[in-house]
Amino acid sequence: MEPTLQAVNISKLFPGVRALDKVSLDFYPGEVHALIGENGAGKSTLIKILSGVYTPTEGQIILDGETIEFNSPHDAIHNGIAVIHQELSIANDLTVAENIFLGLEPTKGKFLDRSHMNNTSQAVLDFMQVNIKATSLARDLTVAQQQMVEIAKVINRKAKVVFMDEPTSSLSKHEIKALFEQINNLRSNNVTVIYISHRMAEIFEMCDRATVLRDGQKIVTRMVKEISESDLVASMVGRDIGDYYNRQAHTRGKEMLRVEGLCRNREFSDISFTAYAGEILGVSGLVGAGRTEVMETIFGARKADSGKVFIEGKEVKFNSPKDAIDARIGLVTEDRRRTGLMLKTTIKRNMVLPSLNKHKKGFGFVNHVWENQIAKEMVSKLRVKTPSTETIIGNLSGGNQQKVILAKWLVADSDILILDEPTRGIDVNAKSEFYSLMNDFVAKGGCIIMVSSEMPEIIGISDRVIVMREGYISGELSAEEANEQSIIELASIVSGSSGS
Amino acid sequence: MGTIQEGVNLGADDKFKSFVKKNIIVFVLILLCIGFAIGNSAFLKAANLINLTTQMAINAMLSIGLTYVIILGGIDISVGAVGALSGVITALVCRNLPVSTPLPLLVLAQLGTGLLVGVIFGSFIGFIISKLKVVPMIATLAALTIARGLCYIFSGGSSVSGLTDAYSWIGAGRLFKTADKPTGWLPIISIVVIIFVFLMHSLLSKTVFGRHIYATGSNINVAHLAGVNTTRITFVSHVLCSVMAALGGVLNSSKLQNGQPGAMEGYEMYAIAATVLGGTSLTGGSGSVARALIGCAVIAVINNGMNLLHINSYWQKAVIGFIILLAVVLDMAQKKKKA
Repeated sequence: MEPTLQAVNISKLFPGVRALDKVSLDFYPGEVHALIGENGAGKSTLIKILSGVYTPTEGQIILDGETIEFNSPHDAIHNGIAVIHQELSIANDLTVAENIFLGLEPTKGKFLDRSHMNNTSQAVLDFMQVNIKATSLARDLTVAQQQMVEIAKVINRKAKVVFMDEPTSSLSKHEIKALFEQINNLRSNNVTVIYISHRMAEIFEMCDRATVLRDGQKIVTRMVKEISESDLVASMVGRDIGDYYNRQAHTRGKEMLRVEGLCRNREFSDISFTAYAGEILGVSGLVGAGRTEVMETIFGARKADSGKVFIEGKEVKFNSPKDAIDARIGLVTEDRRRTGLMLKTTIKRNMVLPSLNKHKKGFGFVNHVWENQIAKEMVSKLRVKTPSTETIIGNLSGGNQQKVILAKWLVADSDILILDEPTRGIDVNAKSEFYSLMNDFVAKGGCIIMVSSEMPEIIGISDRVIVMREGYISGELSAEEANEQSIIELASIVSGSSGS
Repeated sequence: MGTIQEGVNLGADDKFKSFVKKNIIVFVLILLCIGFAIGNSAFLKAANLINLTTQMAINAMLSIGLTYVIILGGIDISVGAVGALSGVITALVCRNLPVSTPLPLLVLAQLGTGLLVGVIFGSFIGFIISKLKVVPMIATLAALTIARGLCYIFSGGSSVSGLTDAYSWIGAGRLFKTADKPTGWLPIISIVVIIFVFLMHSLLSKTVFGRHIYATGSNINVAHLAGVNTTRITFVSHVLCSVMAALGGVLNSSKLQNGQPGAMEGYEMYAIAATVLGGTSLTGGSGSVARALIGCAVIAVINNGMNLLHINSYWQKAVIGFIILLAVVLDMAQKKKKA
């Protein structure tokens, strides 16, 4: 069989860095090909070159046996290359059909042929067997449905090659299943799917072959059937990382945070749990189960309708995050870019923000000596990879950004850390480092509440797990009881209709 | 996905480039000065340079305050009208003071009235923007119209005049009289501006309050979750902006020795231009008071230089407009590169 798309000896140089180094890859029709590697390994650069965003410094792209040059993303699209980004490119105010035909609108004479557009779109959606109407507004769809629209777009354009960048990162378990069905659909239509993901389980479930990139070089391409997860991870990081959760025995201390009957209209109800010093309390559940909302309410960023919160046995009322911070709670939010970082600001300024008031000098002046010192201290203690504390944080990798956010709450002297999806989108090495930082914090008597949708993470590091389902706590599991099976049983909707 | 720059040290060459880029406005200023000096030798004379500082004074006062709200990611287009209102009210108040009022008391009355007008109007704007969450452009557009209306109501539609010479001391007076300069050579208005630049620059760059303004402008969600009272920060910044505008209005009224309801029309555009030329980003999160002052200097130099070269004043407006456009395009180009 002839490959659909071939990359031949592709290199890409940026000022000061070789992002890709002589990478050669073949993609065959009807295969789902996993592209994996740590952040900065060159995956994004490769996708951008193959989809016409960047031109390669050297090397060739061969499409259906012919050398081709893409001068723009538009070129690539016209040659049957499609990219479904992690951040979906759906125009919210257009209908589903308008989105599907965006850029290729059919016309009758000078005018838009709306009925053709709607009929064709509906036919594609029906073919996909998804329950979406071509005439509804994109805004009214769930994220999962919007993703289906993206796939419909790809099918409608008769794309030959589809890149999917972390397609499951914001989907729940059963939405992922629906997505996989569509990928199988594409596969049986001889479309090449190039699947980029950090989630090993999905790669083993869906993909035929996997290519590992590291430091801009292709390390290996293998049939997925022939390799093990640890082999893959080892070739990603370049060493055997063993048990990367570094599970440690913690000793549970005094009660730190107790929540009783916390309710918030339509988001969650009757939430009660206790978190102790010296333990990591995992909070599992499907996306949309209300976990983030509960944590933000405890932190004072949302108002509870009823319920009580106790810190070390004393009842507290937090009207704003400031009150929670004063009670030595820190919140690492799930969305780094939107609610975690001031992207265009320096590492130092990000790190000290919540603590400026505590360390100010007379007349409200910033204590520069203190902030320079503590920032340097934290950067070396947490091994943040950066030229200096004055580096703009947007230039760091996800893992290092996450360390700075953690440092922010360590500087603030937090006793209780609420971590919401703390390792989302960061690579294996950085995850492993982050887990050991969490362990260090707990070993010193800190209390961690970790919300995570990644099952292995919850099972791997929690001392205790509570599971949420549709806004309430459906159960609690000890570290011994917690496994995929027991958590899924508590997390999934019991009977009848699906949630979203 | 990771960024390419990770862990890569900037070379000396890059450092120099970024230094030039960051300070491009300073080089522009120097080039302009050289150009005008070649065009007319009078430009670099001490008397003209001192004049320059008085010409940029009012704009500087407005820009100082505007820097605060632009760093927040907001805008205030009412500064000119608020200044005019403050000028009219100050003139009215001081006209009713006895002629024998000693100078320090009069100055106190002028600045006090300005401060009061600024605080009241700024609180009004700040409340609408921080509490009612009205978009700053619309809120201050409304405020502009209200302030301008009040100007005509209070003044009865004509200039408030009949003010003593002492009234013009702070805006037009000079210190250090010498034999060849009987009016004095050091403009008081320039000293006032320098004092405010120093105070407001320190407040913004050295205090926790200032840091919270940058944080709110960078990412309001992050600031809020870090315990910053973003509502209060927004409110206070708008009060400060209006206070600076009102004090600017007092200086303007003093300089002209009257209170004109139509004064300072369009000054907001010069102030926004100066702030942006100084490198304060309209998307918020970065900028500085001292740099806004350099922006003011650029505008003043262009106006002054073109005057000396006898260029038609209508042309001056158009040129300033183009320069603002250039500054914004450069700013955007730089951002694109970074992204």
